[in-house]
Amino acid sequence: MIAYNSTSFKNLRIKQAAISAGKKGLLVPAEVEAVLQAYPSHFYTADFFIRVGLFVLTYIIMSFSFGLFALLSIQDIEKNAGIIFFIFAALSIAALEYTIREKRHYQSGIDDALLYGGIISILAGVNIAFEPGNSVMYLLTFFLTGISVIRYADRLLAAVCFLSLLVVIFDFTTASFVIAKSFAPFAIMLVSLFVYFFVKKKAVTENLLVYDKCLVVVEALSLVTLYVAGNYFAVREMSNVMFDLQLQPGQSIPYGFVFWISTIIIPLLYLAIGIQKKDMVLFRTGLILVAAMVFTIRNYYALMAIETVLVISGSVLIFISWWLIRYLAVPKSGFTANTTHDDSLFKKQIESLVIAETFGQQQSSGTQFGGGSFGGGGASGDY
Amino acid sequence: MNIIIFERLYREGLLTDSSMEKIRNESRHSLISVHWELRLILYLGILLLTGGLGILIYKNFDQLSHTVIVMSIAAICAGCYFYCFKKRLAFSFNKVLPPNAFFDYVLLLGCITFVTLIAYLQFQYNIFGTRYGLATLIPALLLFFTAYYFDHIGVLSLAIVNFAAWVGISITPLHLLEQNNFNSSHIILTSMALGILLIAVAGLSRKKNIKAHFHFTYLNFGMHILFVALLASFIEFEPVYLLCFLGLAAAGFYFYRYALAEKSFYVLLVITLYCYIGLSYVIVRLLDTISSDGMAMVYLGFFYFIGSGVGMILFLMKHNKMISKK
Repeated sequence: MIAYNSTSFKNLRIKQAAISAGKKGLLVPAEVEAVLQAYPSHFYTADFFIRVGLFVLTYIIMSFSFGLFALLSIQDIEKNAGIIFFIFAALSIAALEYTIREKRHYQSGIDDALLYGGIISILAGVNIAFEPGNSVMYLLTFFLTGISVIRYADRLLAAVCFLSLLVVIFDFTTASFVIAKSFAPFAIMLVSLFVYFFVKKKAVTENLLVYDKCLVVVEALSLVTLYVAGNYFAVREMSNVMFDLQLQPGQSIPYGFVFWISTIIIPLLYLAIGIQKKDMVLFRTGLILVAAMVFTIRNYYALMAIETVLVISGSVLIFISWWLIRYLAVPKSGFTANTTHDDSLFKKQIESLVIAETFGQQQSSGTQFGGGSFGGGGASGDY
Repeated sequence: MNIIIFERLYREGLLTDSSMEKIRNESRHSLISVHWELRLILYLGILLLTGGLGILIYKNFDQLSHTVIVMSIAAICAGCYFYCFKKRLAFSFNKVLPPNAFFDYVLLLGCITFVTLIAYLQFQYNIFGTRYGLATLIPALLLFFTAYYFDHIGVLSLAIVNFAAWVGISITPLHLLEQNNFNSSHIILTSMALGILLIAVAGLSRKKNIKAHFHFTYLNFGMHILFVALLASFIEFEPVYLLCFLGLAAAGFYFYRYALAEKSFYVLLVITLYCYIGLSYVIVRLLDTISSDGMAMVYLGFFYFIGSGVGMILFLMKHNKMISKK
């Protein structure tokens, strides 16, 4: 099962919950302190920025180690490439297990890099050594990432695992002769829906505390795939390519109206249920998908010129946010436009960088500071 | 919030009845903040609106006179500034919070339209002639004033970018600019000076307590400009690249002390990566110069990267612990 010390893992979650409740003023400091004493967690976890650094450095070490491997067996690289990948994968996973067990790393950047490197090497090795074809590779990816998620509770791999499951199903429905090809979108929608409810139900039990973050990722992703599988644009263009329908512009797919209904209804449904149940995952996904809905409609029905759409939608968005910020200045039915914790300064810094990025460009065209091409050039310059 | 965790803690007697009641209450009637979602929508709306208006003007260019365009941009700009002057809270050298949620955005719109206006006037009427420096310096000065007067970090970032543009333009002699022949050693040295100036301003603003919360914005820009210029100098001043490396090491040491004093993981990561790139360049150059056997040097290079990577990881991990403990 889980490679990380599961007691430490649960204790970490409990600690985090207690600290955040303490920040909101729900617990008195003495209680938070008592919880921290009762549930010690011995993980080595790095700060976010340090984690990024450790990830990059581990990646550099792995790349050069792999390069060294390849260099040593350069004579018959054609024959040995698969084997090199397998050896490399074995070493990566061994190093991963060592850092987790002996050094107690958890999301330190090092374990992340080793895990991803190991998985990619296994997949690359199988592909080169056996050339099993796409369908087998999809299935292998699904099982491999599935096992890794159970063992390492990694969010990115959870996402890959879920997506590869969908690819397997898509592959199966489109390749088989028993089930009609046009069933593929519905199959994906059904599976997404099933996964969503499964995850939603599991997420609240204490036994799965270790996987809570993975579950949230899959929860959000299944909502997105549920929508994409029923999105008119996705279905039309995919069927056009996959089944060689040779649709002309303006022509629709068979039963196109079904997909138009889901294209428009689903985002609104997400928003409505999200607001009603105060489910932020549903709510935020709904917000993003409304944009996808608008783009889809605009792609097929260009009722207005693009600038008119921009002006109108921009004005509408400004008005909605203006109205909601005023309306929710005093909390209403559980929603507020104010921040609940004091993380505002950090986000303000990020916001200022975004402003400089998006609006600063036209003015900076006169500068010629060293810039991008020098940034990483030093390290690889002479090879 | 996961209520199960707290129920368990409560059963174990770690929480008092009143705290548990508070938590149950919170989880039943939890208040959800949509603050950042709404801000994002507002920002997106402004982006779409300004983009749409831009295209609208561009497409109907022949039907509008320049005067109309200039007047309307000026009107928006003046309107925004008028609103901000009316609503602003009293000026202070300390942090001043915006009076309402829209203030920051209105101010930003005013600044962007002002910059656009100057660019338009220069492009269409050539009001500054060939004194391009003036065309970038005036917006920069106004943006600095706005940032300080209304206390807006986003405008400050814009001002710094504009100021850097002015520096870049005024050091490049015009004929070089026209021949598209940039004298990069000038530019690198000026960038270094600019980076140091920004870092000094960052230090001063905190020391003199003049908008001390602007400190990080200045420092961040200064740090990146300085380090990129230093790395660029390795290639530009190749004969003395070891000297440049000393400069990099000195800057790295300064920020290393800063990172420890301020407990800044971000600064620590940035300098580690910049210095690592510089160090690796020097090592690879050295290996290249002493090489007689190509292959052996390649192997040595690989070992260097593996070994130094491990070293850097140990360095970061040690400091992660050091900074967290403080």
